[in-house]
Amino acid sequence: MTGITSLFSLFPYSRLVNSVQRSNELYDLLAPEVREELARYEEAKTVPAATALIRRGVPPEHLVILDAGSVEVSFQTGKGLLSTVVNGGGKVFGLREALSHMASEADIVALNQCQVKLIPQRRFTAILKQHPEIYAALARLLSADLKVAQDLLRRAPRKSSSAKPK
Amino acid sequence: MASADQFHIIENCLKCPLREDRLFCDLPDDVLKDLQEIKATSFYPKGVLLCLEGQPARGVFILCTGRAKLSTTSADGKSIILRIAEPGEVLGLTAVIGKTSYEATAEILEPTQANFISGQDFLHFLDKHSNVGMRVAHQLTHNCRCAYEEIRSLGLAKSVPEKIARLLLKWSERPLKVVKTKPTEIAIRVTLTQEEIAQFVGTSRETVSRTLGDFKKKGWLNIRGATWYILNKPALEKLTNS
Repeated sequence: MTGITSLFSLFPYSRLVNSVQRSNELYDLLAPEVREELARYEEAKTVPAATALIRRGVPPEHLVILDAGSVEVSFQTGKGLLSTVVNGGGKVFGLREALSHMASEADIVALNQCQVKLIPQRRFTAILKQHPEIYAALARLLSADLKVAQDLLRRAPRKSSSAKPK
Repeated sequence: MASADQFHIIENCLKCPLREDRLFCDLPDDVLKDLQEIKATSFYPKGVLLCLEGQPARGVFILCTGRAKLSTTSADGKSIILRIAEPGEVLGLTAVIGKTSYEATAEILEPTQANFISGQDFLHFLDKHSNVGMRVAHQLTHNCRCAYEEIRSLGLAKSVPEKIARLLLKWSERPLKVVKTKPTEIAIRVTLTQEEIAQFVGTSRETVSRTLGDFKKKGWLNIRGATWYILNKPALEKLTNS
Protein backbone atom coordinates (compact mmCIF):
# COMPACT_ATOMS: atom_id res chain seq x y z
CA MET A 1 0.00 0.00 0.00
CA THR A 2 2.23 2.76 -1.32
CA GLY A 3 2.01 6.17 0.30
CA ILE A 4 0.10 5.00 3.35
CA THR A 5 1.51 6.05 6.69
CA SER A 6 1.21 3.65 9.60
CA LEU A 7 -0.81 5.28 12.34
CA PHE A 8 0.98 3.53 15.15
CA SER A 9 4.56 3.92 14.05
CA LEU A 10 5.34 7.09 12.15
CA PHE A 11 2.96 9.94 12.67
CA PRO A 12 3.59 12.53 15.42
CA TYR A 13 0.09 12.90 16.80
CA SER A 14 -1.44 15.99 18.27
CA ARG A 15 -3.72 15.63 21.26
CA LEU A 16 -7.07 17.34 21.05
CA VAL A 17 -8.10 18.94 24.31
CA ASN A 18 -11.32 20.84 23.80
CA SER A 19 -12.92 19.57 20.64
CA VAL A 20 -13.30 15.87 21.44
CA GLN A 21 -16.67 14.50 20.45
CA ARG A 22 -18.19 12.66 23.44
CA SER A 23 -20.74 10.71 21.50
CA ASN A 24 -20.18 7.76 19.16
CA GLU A 25 -22.13 4.71 18.02
CA LEU A 26 -20.80 2.59 20.90
CA TYR A 27 -21.10 5.11 23.73
CA ASP A 28 -24.62 6.01 22.64
CA LEU A 29 -25.69 2.47 23.58
CA LEU A 30 -23.90 2.27 26.93
CA ALA A 31 -24.72 3.31 30.47
CA PRO A 32 -22.98 6.52 31.64
CA GLU A 33 -20.69 4.70 34.08
CA VAL A 34 -19.43 2.33 31.36
CA ARG A 35 -18.89 5.26 29.00
CA GLU A 36 -16.87 7.04 31.64
CA GLU A 37 -14.75 4.00 32.27
CA LEU A 38 -13.95 3.60 28.58
CA ALA A 39 -13.30 7.32 28.24
CA ARG A 40 -10.55 7.05 30.86
CA TYR A 41 -8.43 5.14 28.36
CA GLU A 42 -9.14 7.25 25.30
CA GLU A 43 -6.33 8.89 23.43
CA ALA A 44 -7.47 11.61 21.03
CA LYS A 45 -5.43 12.25 17.91
CA THR A 46 -5.52 14.06 14.61
CA VAL A 47 -4.17 12.05 11.70
CA PRO A 48 -3.46 13.19 8.13
CA ALA A 49 -4.91 11.80 4.93
CA ALA A 50 -3.53 8.40 3.87
CA THR A 51 -2.93 7.24 7.43
CA ALA A 52 -3.64 3.54 7.86
CA LEU A 53 -5.86 3.29 10.93
CA ILE A 54 -6.26 -0.48 10.73
CA ARG A 55 -4.30 -2.82 8.49
CA ARG A 56 -5.64 -5.96 6.86
CA GLY A 57 -4.04 -9.13 8.27
CA VAL A 58 -2.87 -7.42 11.45
CA PRO A 59 -4.70 -7.69 14.80
CA PRO A 60 -5.45 -4.05 15.73
CA GLU A 61 -4.07 -2.88 19.04
CA HIS A 62 -6.78 -0.27 19.51
CA LEU A 63 -10.44 0.39 19.00
CA VAL A 64 -10.60 3.36 16.67
CA ILE A 65 -13.40 5.87 17.16
CA LEU A 66 -13.74 8.15 14.15
CA ASP A 67 -14.91 11.53 15.42
CA ALA A 68 -14.43 13.59 12.27
CA GLY A 69 -13.18 13.06 8.75
CA SER A 70 -13.67 10.25 6.24
CA VAL A 71 -12.07 6.84 5.89
CA GLU A 72 -12.00 4.26 3.16
CA VAL A 73 -12.68 0.67 4.20
CA SER A 74 -11.29 -1.69 1.57
CA PHE A 75 -11.11 -5.43 1.12
CA GLN A 76 -8.79 -7.33 -1.16
CA THR A 77 -10.66 -9.68 -3.47
CA GLY A 78 -9.46 -11.83 -6.31
CA LYS A 79 -10.53 -9.06 -8.64
CA GLY A 80 -8.90 -6.15 -6.85
CA LEU A 81 -9.98 -3.83 -4.08
CA LEU A 82 -13.60 -3.52 -3.04
CA SER A 83 -14.11 -0.41 -0.97
CA THR A 84 -16.62 1.75 0.78
CA VAL A 85 -16.32 5.20 2.34
CA VAL A 86 -17.33 5.97 5.92
CA ASN A 87 -17.79 9.56 7.01
CA GLY A 88 -16.98 10.51 10.64
CA GLY A 89 -19.83 10.89 13.06
CA GLY A 90 -18.72 8.38 15.68
CA LYS A 91 -18.12 5.15 13.77
CA VAL A 92 -16.12 2.62 15.83
CA PHE A 93 -13.66 0.22 14.17
CA GLY A 94 -11.97 -2.86 15.61
CA LEU A 95 -14.89 -4.26 17.60
CA ARG A 96 -15.03 -7.59 15.78
CA GLU A 97 -11.33 -8.06 16.21
CA ALA A 98 -11.65 -7.27 19.92
CA LEU A 99 -14.18 -10.09 20.26
CA SER A 100 -12.49 -12.63 18.03
CA HIS A 101 -8.87 -11.72 18.83
CA MET A 102 -8.19 -12.13 15.12
CA ALA A 103 -6.64 -9.98 12.44
CA SER A 104 -8.65 -7.43 10.53
CA GLU A 105 -10.11 -8.35 7.13
CA ALA A 106 -10.00 -4.76 5.93
CA ASP A 107 -7.67 -1.83 5.48
CA ILE A 108 -9.08 1.33 7.00
CA VAL A 109 -7.33 4.42 5.69
CA ALA A 110 -7.99 8.12 6.31
CA LEU A 111 -9.15 9.90 3.16
CA ASN A 112 -8.58 13.33 4.69
CA GLN A 113 -7.46 14.72 8.03
CA CYS A 114 -9.35 12.75 10.67
CA GLN A 115 -9.97 13.21 14.36
CA VAL A 116 -9.92 9.86 16.09
CA LYS A 117 -9.91 8.43 19.59
CA LEU A 118 -8.00 5.26 20.36
CA ILE A 119 -8.80 2.80 23.15
CA PRO A 120 -6.33 -0.05 23.73
CA GLN A 121 -7.94 -3.41 22.89
CA ARG A 122 -6.72 -4.98 26.13
CA ARG A 123 -8.41 -2.22 28.16
CA PHE A 124 -11.61 -2.66 26.20
CA THR A 125 -11.54 -6.44 26.73
CA ALA A 126 -11.01 -5.97 30.46
CA ILE A 127 -13.93 -3.54 30.71
CA LEU A 128 -16.07 -5.96 28.67
CA LYS A 129 -15.41 -8.65 31.29
CA GLN A 130 -16.46 -6.27 34.07
CA HIS A 131 -19.54 -5.06 32.20
CA PRO A 132 -20.93 -7.92 30.09
CA GLU A 133 -23.99 -5.78 29.35
CA ILE A 134 -21.77 -4.15 26.71
CA TYR A 135 -22.35 -7.27 24.57
CA ALA A 136 -25.91 -6.22 23.78
CA ALA A 137 -24.57 -2.94 22.40
CA LEU A 138 -21.89 -4.81 20.46
CA ALA A 139 -24.55 -7.07 18.97
CA ARG A 140 -26.35 -4.01 17.64
CA LEU A 141 -23.19 -2.55 16.11
CA LEU A 142 -22.01 -5.86 14.66
CA SER A 143 -25.42 -6.35 13.15
CA ALA A 144 -24.99 -3.09 11.25
CA ASP A 145 -21.46 -4.17 10.19
CA LEU A 146 -22.81 -7.44 8.87
CA LYS A 147 -25.35 -5.54 6.81
CA VAL A 148 -22.50 -3.56 5.24
CA ALA A 149 -20.64 -6.81 4.48
CA GLN A 150 -23.72 -8.35 2.92
CA ASP A 151 -24.25 -5.26 0.78
CA LEU A 152 -20.63 -5.47 -0.38
CA LEU A 153 -21.10 -9.13 -1.21
CA ARG A 154 -24.18 -8.32 -3.22
CA ARG A 155 -22.29 -5.62 -5.16
CA ALA A 156 -19.16 -7.69 -5.69
CA PRO A 157 -18.51 -8.70 -9.29
CA ARG A 158 -18.70 -12.43 -9.96
CA LYS A 159 -16.87 -14.40 -12.55
CA SER A 160 -18.11 -17.54 -14.21
CA SER A 161 -15.81 -19.89 -15.96
CA SER A 162 -16.25 -23.22 -17.66
CA ALA A 163 -12.67 -24.37 -17.68
CA LYS A 164 -12.17 -28.11 -17.28
CA PRO A 165 -9.95 -29.66 -14.62
CA LYS A 166 -6.45 -30.47 -15.66
CA MET B 1 -41.05 -35.71 22.97
CA ALA B 2 -43.59 -35.27 20.25
CA SER B 3 -43.04 -36.90 16.88
CA ALA B 4 -44.06 -35.70 13.45
CA ASP B 5 -43.21 -37.43 10.21
CA GLN B 6 -40.62 -39.65 11.98
CA PHE B 7 -38.92 -36.51 13.22
CA HIS B 8 -38.33 -36.06 16.91
CA ILE B 9 -39.25 -32.59 18.03
CA ILE B 10 -37.48 -31.32 21.13
CA GLU B 11 -39.93 -28.88 22.64
CA ASN B 12 -38.14 -28.18 25.91
CA CYS B 13 -34.82 -26.37 25.50
CA LEU B 14 -33.88 -27.29 29.08
CA LYS B 15 -34.00 -30.98 28.18
CA CYS B 16 -32.38 -30.64 24.77
CA PRO B 17 -29.44 -33.06 24.50
CA LEU B 18 -27.84 -30.81 21.87
CA ARG B 19 -27.76 -27.58 23.85
CA GLU B 20 -24.12 -27.87 24.92
CA ASP B 21 -23.06 -28.28 21.30
CA ARG B 22 -24.81 -25.13 20.15
CA LEU B 23 -23.21 -21.74 20.62
CA PHE B 24 -26.47 -19.91 21.16
CA CYS B 25 -28.27 -22.59 23.22
CA ASP B 26 -25.52 -23.31 25.74
CA LEU B 27 -27.09 -20.95 28.25
CA PRO B 28 -27.68 -21.18 32.01
CA ASP B 29 -30.98 -22.80 33.06
CA ASP B 30 -32.59 -19.55 34.21
CA VAL B 31 -31.94 -17.96 30.80
CA LEU B 32 -33.21 -21.05 28.98
CA LYS B 33 -36.39 -20.87 31.08
CA ASP B 34 -36.95 -17.37 29.75
CA LEU B 35 -36.21 -18.58 26.23
CA GLN B 36 -38.72 -21.39 26.70
CA GLU B 37 -41.38 -18.76 27.49
CA ILE B 38 -40.90 -16.72 24.32
CA LYS B 39 -40.13 -19.28 21.62
CA ALA B 40 -42.46 -21.27 19.40
CA THR B 41 -41.13 -24.57 18.13
CA SER B 42 -42.04 -25.81 14.66
CA PHE B 43 -41.00 -28.50 12.24
CA TYR B 44 -40.41 -27.51 8.63
CA PRO B 45 -40.11 -29.85 5.63
CA LYS B 46 -37.65 -29.30 2.79
CA GLY B 47 -38.44 -26.35 0.56
CA VAL B 48 -40.21 -24.15 3.12
CA LEU B 49 -39.17 -20.48 3.09
CA LEU B 50 -38.57 -19.31 6.65
CA CYS B 51 -38.17 -15.70 5.58
CA LEU B 52 -37.92 -13.72 2.38
CA GLU B 53 -35.35 -11.11 1.42
CA GLY B 54 -36.96 -7.67 1.72
CA GLN B 55 -39.78 -8.87 4.00
CA PRO B 56 -40.11 -6.77 7.19
CA ALA B 57 -38.48 -8.75 9.99
CA ARG B 58 -40.99 -10.54 12.23
CA GLY B 59 -38.48 -12.32 14.39
CA VAL B 60 -35.53 -14.69 14.54
CA PHE B 61 -35.33 -18.43 13.88
CA ILE B 62 -33.01 -20.66 15.89
CA LEU B 63 -32.13 -23.72 13.80
CA CYS B 64 -32.32 -26.63 16.27
CA THR B 65 -31.69 -29.33 13.68
CA GLY B 66 -31.49 -29.28 9.90
CA ARG B 67 -29.99 -26.71 7.56
CA ALA B 68 -31.18 -23.76 5.52
CA LYS B 69 -29.95 -22.15 2.34
CA LEU B 70 -29.42 -18.39 2.59
CA SER B 71 -29.67 -16.60 -0.71
CA THR B 72 -29.91 -13.07 -1.97
CA THR B 73 -30.19 -11.22 -5.24
CA SER B 74 -27.10 -9.60 -6.74
CA ALA B 75 -26.99 -6.10 -8.18
CA ASP B 76 -27.44 -7.60 -11.65
CA GLY B 77 -30.50 -9.58 -10.60
CA LYS B 78 -28.84 -12.99 -10.25
CA SER B 79 -29.64 -15.30 -7.37
CA ILE B 80 -26.60 -15.76 -5.12
CA ILE B 81 -26.36 -18.42 -2.45
CA LEU B 82 -24.63 -16.74 0.46
CA ARG B 83 -24.06 -19.82 2.57
CA ILE B 84 -25.69 -22.80 4.22
CA ALA B 85 -26.88 -22.11 7.76
CA GLU B 86 -26.08 -24.96 10.13
CA PRO B 87 -27.84 -26.26 13.27
CA GLY B 88 -27.50 -23.88 16.19
CA GLU B 89 -27.44 -20.73 14.07
CA VAL B 90 -29.85 -17.89 14.65
CA LEU B 91 -31.32 -16.51 11.43
CA GLY B 92 -32.68 -13.00 11.00
CA LEU B 93 -30.45 -11.37 13.63
CA THR B 94 -29.39 -8.43 11.48
CA ALA B 95 -32.92 -7.57 10.47
CA VAL B 96 -34.43 -7.90 13.95
CA ILE B 97 -31.69 -6.00 15.74
CA GLY B 98 -31.64 -3.29 13.07
CA LYS B 99 -35.45 -3.31 12.84
CA THR B 100 -35.18 -3.60 9.07
CA SER B 101 -36.20 -6.18 6.51
CA TYR B 102 -34.62 -9.60 6.12
CA GLU B 103 -31.30 -9.47 4.24
CA ALA B 104 -31.63 -12.91 2.72
CA THR B 105 -34.13 -15.59 1.87
CA ALA B 106 -33.84 -18.68 4.06
CA GLU B 107 -35.03 -21.92 2.49
CA ILE B 108 -35.13 -25.19 4.39
CA LEU B 109 -32.85 -27.80 2.80
CA GLU B 110 -33.81 -30.82 4.87
CA PRO B 111 -36.38 -31.61 7.58
CA THR B 112 -35.69 -28.98 10.20
CA GLN B 113 -36.78 -28.01 13.69
CA ALA B 114 -36.59 -24.30 14.40
CA ASN B 115 -37.58 -22.07 17.27
CA PHE B 116 -39.20 -18.77 16.32
CA ILE B 117 -38.94 -15.74 18.62
CA SER B 118 -40.73 -12.52 17.77
CA GLY B 119 -38.52 -9.47 17.22
CA GLN B 120 -39.81 -7.61 20.26
CA ASP B 121 -39.37 -10.59 22.56
CA PHE B 122 -35.90 -11.28 21.21
CA LEU B 123 -34.69 -7.70 21.73
CA HIS B 124 -36.02 -7.77 25.30
CA PHE B 125 -34.31 -11.16 25.86
CA LEU B 126 -31.06 -9.74 24.45
CA ASP B 127 -31.14 -6.71 26.76
CA LYS B 128 -32.09 -8.74 29.83
CA HIS B 129 -29.36 -11.38 29.63
CA SER B 130 -25.76 -10.37 28.99
CA ASN B 131 -24.76 -13.93 28.11
CA VAL B 132 -27.32 -13.86 25.29
CA GLY B 133 -25.72 -10.63 24.07
CA MET B 134 -22.34 -12.31 24.19
CA ARG B 135 -23.50 -15.27 22.08
CA VAL B 136 -25.26 -13.04 19.59
CA ALA B 137 -22.18 -10.81 19.30
CA HIS B 138 -19.98 -13.85 18.69
CA GLN B 139 -22.32 -15.26 16.07
CA LEU B 140 -22.45 -11.90 14.29
CA THR B 141 -18.66 -11.70 14.42
CA HIS B 142 -18.50 -15.16 12.85
CA ASN B 143 -21.08 -14.22 10.21
CA CYS B 144 -19.15 -11.05 9.36
CA ARG B 145 -15.95 -13.04 9.03
CA CYS B 146 -17.68 -15.54 6.72
CA ALA B 147 -19.06 -12.69 4.59
CA TYR B 148 -15.67 -11.00 4.32
CA GLU B 149 -14.00 -14.34 3.56
CA GLU B 150 -16.52 -14.81 0.77
CA ILE B 151 -15.80 -11.30 -0.52
CA ARG B 152 -12.08 -11.98 -0.36
CA SER B 153 -12.35 -15.26 -2.22
CA LEU B 154 -14.49 -13.86 -5.03
CA GLY B 155 -12.57 -14.28 -8.22
CA LEU B 156 -9.69 -16.10 -6.53
CA ALA B 157 -10.69 -19.46 -7.96
CA LYS B 158 -9.43 -19.69 -11.50
CA SER B 159 -11.88 -22.26 -12.80
CA VAL B 160 -15.22 -23.84 -12.02
CA PRO B 161 -13.57 -27.18 -11.13
CA GLU B 162 -11.43 -25.33 -8.61
CA LYS B 163 -14.47 -23.58 -7.16
CA ILE B 164 -16.41 -26.84 -6.89
CA ALA B 165 -13.41 -28.58 -5.37
CA ARG B 166 -13.24 -25.77 -2.77
CA LEU B 167 -16.93 -26.24 -2.01
CA LEU B 168 -16.56 -30.01 -1.61
CA LEU B 169 -13.57 -29.55 0.68
CA LYS B 170 -15.51 -27.05 2.77
CA TRP B 171 -18.43 -29.45 3.09
CA SER B 172 -16.05 -32.28 3.96
CA GLU B 173 -15.30 -30.44 7.19
CA ARG B 174 -18.70 -31.74 8.36
CA PRO B 175 -18.64 -35.38 7.30
CA LEU B 176 -21.58 -37.73 7.78
CA LYS B 177 -20.76 -39.85 10.80
CA VAL B 178 -23.53 -42.41 10.40
CA VAL B 179 -22.39 -43.57 6.96
CA LYS B 180 -19.70 -46.27 6.87
CA THR B 181 -16.82 -45.35 4.60
CA LYS B 182 -13.33 -46.58 3.85
CA PRO B 183 -10.64 -44.76 5.86
CA THR B 184 -9.71 -42.63 2.84
CA GLU B 185 -13.30 -41.73 1.94
CA ILE B 186 -15.41 -38.90 3.28
CA ALA B 187 -19.20 -39.06 3.10
CA ILE B 188 -21.10 -35.78 2.98
CA ARG B 189 -24.76 -34.94 2.66
CA VAL B 190 -25.50 -32.64 -0.28
CA THR B 191 -29.06 -31.41 -0.50
CA LEU B 192 -28.36 -28.70 -3.07
CA THR B 193 -29.39 -29.28 -6.66
CA GLN B 194 -26.87 -28.79 -9.46
CA GLU B 195 -28.63 -25.53 -10.28
CA GLU B 196 -28.08 -24.35 -6.69
CA ILE B 197 -24.43 -25.39 -6.77
CA ALA B 198 -24.16 -23.34 -9.97
CA GLN B 199 -25.59 -20.33 -8.09
CA PHE B 200 -23.10 -20.93 -5.31
CA VAL B 201 -20.03 -20.88 -7.57
CA GLY B 202 -21.29 -18.48 -10.23
CA THR B 203 -21.64 -20.68 -13.28
CA SER B 204 -24.21 -22.63 -15.26
CA ARG B 205 -25.89 -25.88 -14.26
CA GLU B 206 -24.45 -27.56 -17.34
CA THR B 207 -20.90 -26.68 -16.32
CA VAL B 208 -21.51 -28.02 -12.81
CA SER B 209 -22.86 -31.24 -14.28
CA ARG B 210 -19.88 -31.60 -16.61
CA THR B 211 -17.40 -30.87 -13.81
CA LEU B 212 -18.96 -33.38 -11.43
CA GLY B 213 -18.91 -35.91 -14.25
CA ASP B 214 -15.18 -35.27 -14.71
CA PHE B 215 -14.57 -35.70 -10.99
CA LYS B 216 -16.43 -39.02 -11.05
CA LYS B 217 -14.50 -40.26 -14.10
CA LYS B 218 -11.23 -39.44 -12.39
CA GLY B 219 -12.36 -41.44 -9.35
CA TRP B 220 -12.38 -38.41 -7.06
CA LEU B 221 -16.09 -38.45 -6.28
CA ASN B 222 -19.00 -40.85 -6.07
CA ILE B 223 -22.57 -39.60 -5.88
CA ARG B 224 -25.36 -41.75 -4.45
CA GLY B 225 -28.45 -39.59 -4.12
CA ALA B 226 -27.91 -36.93 -1.49
CA THR B 227 -24.89 -38.77 -0.09
CA TRP B 228 -21.67 -37.88 -1.84
CA TYR B 229 -18.40 -39.70 -1.26
CA ILE B 230 -15.16 -37.81 -1.61
CA LEU B 231 -12.80 -40.56 -2.72
CA ASN B 232 -9.66 -38.56 -3.34
CA LYS B 233 -9.39 -35.54 -1.10
CA PRO B 234 -5.69 -34.92 -1.91
CA ALA B 235 -6.59 -34.58 -5.60
CA LEU B 236 -9.21 -31.95 -4.79
CA GLU B 237 -6.75 -30.15 -2.55
CA LYS B 238 -4.14 -30.23 -5.28
CA LEU B 239 -6.65 -28.75 -7.72
CA THR B 240 -7.42 -25.85 -5.37
CA ASN B 241 -3.71 -25.20 -4.85
CA SER B 242 -2.74 -25.38 -8.51
